[in-house]
Amino acid sequence: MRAQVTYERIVRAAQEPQHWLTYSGDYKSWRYSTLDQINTSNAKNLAVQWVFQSAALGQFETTPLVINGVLYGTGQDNRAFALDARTGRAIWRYQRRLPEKIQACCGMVNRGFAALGDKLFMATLDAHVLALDRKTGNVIWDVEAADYRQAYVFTVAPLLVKDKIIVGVAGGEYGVRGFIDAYYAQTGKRAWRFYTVPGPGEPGHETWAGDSWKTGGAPAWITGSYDPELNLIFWPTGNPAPSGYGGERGGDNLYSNCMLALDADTGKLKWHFQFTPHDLHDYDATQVPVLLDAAWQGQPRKLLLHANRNGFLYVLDRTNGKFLSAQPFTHVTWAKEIGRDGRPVIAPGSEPTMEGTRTCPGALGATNWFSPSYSPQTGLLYVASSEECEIFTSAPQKYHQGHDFLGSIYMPASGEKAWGALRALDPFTGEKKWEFIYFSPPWGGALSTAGGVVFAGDSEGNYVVLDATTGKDQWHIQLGAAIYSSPMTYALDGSQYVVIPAGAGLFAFALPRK
Amino acid sequence: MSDPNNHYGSPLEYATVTAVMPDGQRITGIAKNEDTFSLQLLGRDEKLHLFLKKDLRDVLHERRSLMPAYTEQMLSNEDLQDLLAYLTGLRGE
Repeated sequence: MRAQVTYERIVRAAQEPQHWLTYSGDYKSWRYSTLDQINTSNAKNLAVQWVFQSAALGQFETTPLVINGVLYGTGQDNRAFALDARTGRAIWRYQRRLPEKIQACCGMVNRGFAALGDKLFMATLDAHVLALDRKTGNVIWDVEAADYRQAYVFTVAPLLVKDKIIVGVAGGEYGVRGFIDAYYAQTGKRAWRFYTVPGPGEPGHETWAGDSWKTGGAPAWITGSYDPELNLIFWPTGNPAPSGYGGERGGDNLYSNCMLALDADTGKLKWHFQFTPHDLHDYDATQVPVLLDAAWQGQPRKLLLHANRNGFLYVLDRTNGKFLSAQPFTHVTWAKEIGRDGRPVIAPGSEPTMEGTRTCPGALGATNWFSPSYSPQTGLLYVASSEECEIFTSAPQKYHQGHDFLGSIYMPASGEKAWGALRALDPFTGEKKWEFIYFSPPWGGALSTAGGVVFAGDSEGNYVVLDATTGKDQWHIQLGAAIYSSPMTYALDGSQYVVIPAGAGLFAFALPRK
Repeated sequence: MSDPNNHYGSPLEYATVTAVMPDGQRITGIAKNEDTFSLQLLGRDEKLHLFLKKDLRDVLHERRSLMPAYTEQMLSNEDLQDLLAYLTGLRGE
């Protein structure tokens, strides 16, 4: 058994489904496994194998890695742990001491590790990047990426590419200047930084009025994808700041709400595509991009699929960023359509006002950071979706370092019940093939497998297994707390396990042994 | 209190929910809890009804409270004040 994680193993991660080597399962970010022991005929027999308690409150957003029988996860409040993946028994626990005041808009969360060799890599709430020893959890190196007192935080699971760790910063609600960093895995030395808000003299700087670029936001807090052939990292960015008021940041506000294609070695921008120029509704594009090689209008293309928080499913050519199509996958009122040039045709009267404007999707979006899944078996893209409209208000706001910088508030539209669904979409047309209705908007993503099933979770704590072709419920269990993560799977001793966090617990399920 | 259907932008906390049985029988009340698969209903009969949605024909949600609305003509502000004073003055034995 190979003990060391190598870049080459991650490139070929689909060939060793017994492990889970990177955040989305592989570089294409399909969150799909060829494991098929759990399938539509036996999912009803799933049973809890073990439960691990993180001993922390708040949202448990990790996607663990599993390497050679050991599960590595991160938790709330800068926690991390290694477990025996067979029993859930802890091998080590780690917690980095938190400073008194951390400005994390949306919870003291962390989404997971990256791994290379005998090291694990974690990006922390106080804006450090760490390498931990996989066997002990001891810190090998620790670098400060930015000043947490200026509201720079990390919640992202890093992406390992060759010899570098890629991370993106959060803080769009506080007027940070977003960036994506690469660090050498061996030493922690920074290899490159790409600022997601261009400075003076850089292309795109002209898309910010006055000095608004200095507090422009455009964070990068979800793990991107990677194409080894193109040597490009595809990394999405979030909202411009202040998110709900654009009066002082005239222009498109590049590279907020973009898909960025960066050279993995140098961090140089190869292309960008902006989904929501001059955003006024907090429509971060921080959703995981899915890479797919397929025929498009009869021609083989390297595609990038992106189910965006703004309500549209985009298809891009990932070699050059060319826009191919965009179709709504939820109710959308802010834009009439996406034009042939890829720019939205804004619906008149949809901008936030002092009095408030009802707009769909709501500020938390048609979907959010939780992962979609693509199954090559069904050819469908599974997207946890929300149907919620909100009243957006807007007003000027003065920037104060380290404080909320929103320029707005938003609230549910009166008398409208928000709900959600896991939707199976044709990735090329956006056509909805089926949906499984959730009682409320979800915060859990999806995992599809060769067993013909999709694993997912809802905000009321139900973990569900659905038929990947029909959406029919095969099995579900109430876990007692909202699910704020995306499922993953691995195999050990002849059993396929599926793992999902809920509340403070990390739950592992498998079929009963004969 | 006098206008229970107006929560000033927030969802109604005590909205009316009706569980429809396979035979068409209806039980109406407020949802103490509800999710994708189940409903815990406090009925107008003041009994708890615990349902699995797969056993129901339908679940109907109405955006109105079961509490009656009182206009100024039905319940004057002065009477409302008196009622509140009485209720807040109640003490257990």
